[in-house]
Amino acid sequence: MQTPQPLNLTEALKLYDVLAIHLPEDIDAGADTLAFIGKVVDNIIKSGKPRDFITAIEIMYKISVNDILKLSKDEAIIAFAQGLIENKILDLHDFCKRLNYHARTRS
Amino acid sequence: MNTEIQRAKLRKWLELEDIRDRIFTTASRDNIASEVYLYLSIVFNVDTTVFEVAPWYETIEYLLQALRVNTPSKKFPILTTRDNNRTQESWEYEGRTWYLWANIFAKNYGWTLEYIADLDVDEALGLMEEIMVEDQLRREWEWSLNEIAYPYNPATKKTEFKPLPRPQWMNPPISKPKVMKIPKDMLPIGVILRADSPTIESN
Repeated sequence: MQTPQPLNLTEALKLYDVLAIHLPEDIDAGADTLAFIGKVVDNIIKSGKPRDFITAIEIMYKISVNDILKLSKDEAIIAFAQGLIENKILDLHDFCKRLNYHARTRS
Repeated sequence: MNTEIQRAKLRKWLELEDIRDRIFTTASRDNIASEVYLYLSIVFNVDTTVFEVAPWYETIEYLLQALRVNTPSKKFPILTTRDNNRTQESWEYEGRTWYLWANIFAKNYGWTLEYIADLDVDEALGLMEEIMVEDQLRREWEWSLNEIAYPYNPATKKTEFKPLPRPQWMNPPISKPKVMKIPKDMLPIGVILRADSPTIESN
């Protein structure tokens, strides 16, 4: 599995679009990124929307769904976590909240 | 790319402010990124593609730096209020703000467009505020000489002066309500239901 590349702003906002509903609301200022990502994975599982997990990996690694489906469960989770760490998911969440991103309409 | 940020002069600053406004308030989700790229390309005088390939957190870091550098150094009251209910006039067009400001400065001081475009932002804001204040006070004086300013009140059977409304930024700031003690015998009795708490307290 290749290492994830940091996304540009356009792609990062696409990633946020996919993950926003799964991001925990109660985040401490000095929250641990790994614990945060663990909660995101839990929330995706609970929501019954595994497609969001695959789409997030697709955006972060620019690989096809077929390639993602070839990964083992552990490989997929590690790829997901590495991608979110590389893309500073906590900072992205904070930035989007400040922008009131979710209340905006689509063009 | 030279990452040193130069503080924008008036014309460029007005253009940046329009984009900043779109980034933080009006842009749709799909347009935020392109507005950020546009803002930075103007600040750094480079093509938008420079930021289209940069990691998002570096782009945002540049944006925050640029916003900091281009923030006016004084708290001008003219910048403190924002009319969210303002209707779009039929004569509005993109980039009108510059022409509006240029027209006001040229009319009041007789300056050339080049001179106005190159004004320091703090000086331009200070002068614009003075022009607005002078204009409002002149209109208030003219209003006070007009009989429309003195409508008849049938209740008091007198005419009363109705002042010309001022823009919000010219009104005195609203002070916090004064904290005062309430005599014990005037306090409510019986069961108190607090709006902010589900618990019930009895007095």
